[in-house]
Amino acid sequence: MSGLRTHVFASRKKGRMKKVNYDKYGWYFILPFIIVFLVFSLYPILYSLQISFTDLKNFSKGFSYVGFGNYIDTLKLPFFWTAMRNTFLLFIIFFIPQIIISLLLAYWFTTISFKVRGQSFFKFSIYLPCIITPVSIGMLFGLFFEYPRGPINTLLQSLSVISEPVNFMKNMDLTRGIIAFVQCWVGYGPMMIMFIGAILGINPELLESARIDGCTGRQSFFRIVIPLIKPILLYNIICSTIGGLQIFDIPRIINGGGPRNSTLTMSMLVYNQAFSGSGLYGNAAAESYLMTILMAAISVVLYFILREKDDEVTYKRRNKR
Amino acid sequence: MNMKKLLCVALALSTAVIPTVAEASEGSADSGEKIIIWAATTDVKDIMDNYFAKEYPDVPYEIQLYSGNDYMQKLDAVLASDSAEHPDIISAEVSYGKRYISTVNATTSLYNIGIDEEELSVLTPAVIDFMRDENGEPMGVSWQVTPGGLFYRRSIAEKYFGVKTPEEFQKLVCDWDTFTETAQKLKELSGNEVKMIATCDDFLNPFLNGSRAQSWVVDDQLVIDDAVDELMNMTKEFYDNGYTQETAHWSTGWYQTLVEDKTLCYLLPTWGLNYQLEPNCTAADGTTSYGDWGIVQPPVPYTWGGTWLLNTSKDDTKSENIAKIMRYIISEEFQVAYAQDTGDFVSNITAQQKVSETCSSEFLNGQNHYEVFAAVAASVNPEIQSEYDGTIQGFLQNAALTPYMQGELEKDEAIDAFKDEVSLYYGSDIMVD
Repeated sequence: MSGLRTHVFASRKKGRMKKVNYDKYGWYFILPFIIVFLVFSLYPILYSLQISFTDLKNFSKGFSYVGFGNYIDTLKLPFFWTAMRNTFLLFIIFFIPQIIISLLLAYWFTTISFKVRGQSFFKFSIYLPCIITPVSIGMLFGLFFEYPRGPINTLLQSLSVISEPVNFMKNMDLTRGIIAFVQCWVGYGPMMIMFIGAILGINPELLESARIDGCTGRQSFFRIVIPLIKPILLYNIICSTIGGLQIFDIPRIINGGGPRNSTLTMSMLVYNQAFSGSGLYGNAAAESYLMTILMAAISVVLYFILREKDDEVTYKRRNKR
Repeated sequence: MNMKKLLCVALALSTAVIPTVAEASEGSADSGEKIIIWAATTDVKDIMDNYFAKEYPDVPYEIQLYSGNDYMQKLDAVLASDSAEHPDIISAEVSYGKRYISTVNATTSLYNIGIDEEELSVLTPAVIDFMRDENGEPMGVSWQVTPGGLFYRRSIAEKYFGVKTPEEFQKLVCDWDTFTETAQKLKELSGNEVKMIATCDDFLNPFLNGSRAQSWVVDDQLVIDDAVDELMNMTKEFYDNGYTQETAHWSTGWYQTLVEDKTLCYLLPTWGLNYQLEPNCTAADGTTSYGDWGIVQPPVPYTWGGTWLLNTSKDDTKSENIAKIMRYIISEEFQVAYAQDTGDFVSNITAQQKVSETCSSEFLNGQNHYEVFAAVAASVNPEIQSEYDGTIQGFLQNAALTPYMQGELEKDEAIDAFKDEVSLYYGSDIMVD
């Protein structure tokens, strides 16, 4: 709120300058959201914390506190580590291509010397997948790769790429690859848009003078563009990491965590434990909080690795007078 | 300027609304005297709209249809609440219905709405007995009985085996050994072009709800019946020998097999006829297998599915109308009409007999399928099916059966994986060796 402007103008009284502070309006605008958050989000968050220390189950008559028992049970559970490994694996497989492709596309779309025709159409098409509901996308791709007569199998056979249909969902690596591809395809559009905005914020004279001095496109990209969009890059990496480690809908819809739990993610484990079988709410809540701690730790580490080391705060600290 | 301010305020308020937007539900919020019915399948809606509403146009009702996989989660949430949307009647299937009587404890006895045993005696006993609580009080009714049958393609049977009638074909599938021999011969005679079954999923219910002798959970202990081992052996044999099209139930590929001439047998129950086969036997280009079907008894009698309407009302003022719905569902007049329109196998004993006398299905080339189903129904009882069946059988299929069939796991490893899943999701409620 302190970032809002204040207007300074002369009042009628000679010599006095009156400041009008518009900060309060910012609070008014976000107040509705804060109220809704406190009522509909904060309460469930705190309630989840409470039940993570209990043995509460679906339709149980009551519950009793079990201390850190659920947390210890979760850490001892092989399925938890399997889900964590799957989540990180899927995240790395889809995130690295996603960020590379979105950066490259953003650079190409903003480079004046690349005269890309129909830019608006391409940007719209690239952005489109993220506005389709994940459930629809999951069902669509599940149908595409159906065995033995799905469209992909039929197409590959007609092109003589394969002679027999392939059971994609039987193969762990293929299933992970499909899910990672879908996640990447859904997410690279909005990421590209953010990078385009960041690159357009760079002073074009910097790039122009670098070009005059003989800087190649590649040097310009790595030495000028990337450092200057670092804050946006950091923001995207942290948000994508948090979101990526929570992937749920697409792996669940495509193959339900199979084959053999190879695509079971941490969020799916929480959901399955809470809403199938006996409805082990306590265990599911403990798992969700362990996920939260993990994501917070990763976010902090990423921030300290990627933050601007020559920012104003660091400069003042180093040069204390 | 005023418009700008107005727009800004509206945008700010919309940020409050966005997190709270929920799925729009059918029907108005004001339930009043309406009987609220929750259903997972369209046949309930069909019965209420096309039959009950015409007989009782003055009885108000509202159907909430949830055809997704989260019907149970939504039911759990609404039954635990006292909201205006609390259903008065719910449709529940055999694989999970008992849960709403025992664990969830959300049902109300039919005695409370004035229906007595004498009225219920018109139904096949197994139908009423299945949904009784621990005190023996009935909690709901069903319009159907669901014995399993074996549907086959007449043209394929005649082409490769020279059989022209269901009686002749019955000899080729009278038990599992003969069934397997027929599968092998079909493969040889057709040059591996025609398969015996469309999917190994067909074996699930004959073994688990036909041959199985014990419930999945006895005294809070997981019990793995011998039928599970037989199921795994049969599935593996058919998969390894290529006797199956390797599709999955209700997949695109499975529906395609109904139109083609490359699959001989389908192990499906009563509702398989009117709910799956008949509506999907014609392709978009007009190719159809309608009329080329027959039905015989399966190698073992089995039951599969079944939908009950359970009384979950907490409002005594609605008792009279709920009783009207329940009485109508079990009435001979409704069930005869419904059976004649859809071919479904009904639960009213007198209705079964009446329909059976004149039943003839054009889809089955004029065959009387009621005789076949009646013979199977006499040998099956769903009583060993429990509230755990749906979930535990899902774990068995995904964690054990499919990986074992596809050669990913040895049998012991597959069973251990199944046990791990049960233990993970049921915790201490079900003890696993």
